[in-house]
Amino acid sequence: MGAVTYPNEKVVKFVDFNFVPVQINVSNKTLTDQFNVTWTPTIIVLDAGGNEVHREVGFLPPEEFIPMFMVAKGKWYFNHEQHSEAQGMFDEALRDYPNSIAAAEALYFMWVSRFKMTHDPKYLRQAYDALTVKFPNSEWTKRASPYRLIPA
Amino acid sequence: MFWQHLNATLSERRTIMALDICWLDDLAKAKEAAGQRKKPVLLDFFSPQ
Repeated sequence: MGAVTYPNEKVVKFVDFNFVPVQINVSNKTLTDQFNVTWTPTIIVLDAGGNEVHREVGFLPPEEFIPMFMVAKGKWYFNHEQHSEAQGMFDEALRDYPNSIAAAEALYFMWVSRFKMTHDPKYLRQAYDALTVKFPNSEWTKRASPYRLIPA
Repeated sequence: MFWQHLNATLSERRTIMALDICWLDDLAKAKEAAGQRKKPVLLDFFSPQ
């Protein structure tokens, strides 16, 4: 990450704009134990209270790192019930990085966020329908599969 | 003094400066900053090369 992804100019701007970045040496046993870190790189998104929002283990190149952490930032908004902002992040990830590994998760949370705003279950069914079309083999399509039972 | 030594233009300085994430090294301070700036913390566990 330090050789390829973190020096990337887009990554630098993205991280500085969206996060408070902190690096901890894996030799810090107190924190690795606290966060159950057993491998590097491990990157965790936390809220200000220290609650975990998202975790990634393993290398991500810039074109995967940015959409993955757009989704993470969206989930942070989602957890704060800032659904318009959350949907903005999910939409940006889908629009700018439609073939990234984070895209299916972005689509899943896009519709779930709409459900949370409205409590209308049709959005969960739309999550399943959209995922089935765009990402038929994704784990997120499987996670959305119960929603196929909701009437369209 | 660093910039004089490098003889970089303002534009070049901005480019060079942009190529570094401003990492903190203290999680408590990062969480405090996150609360103030209304941003999440990006916590990276790394192995020194």
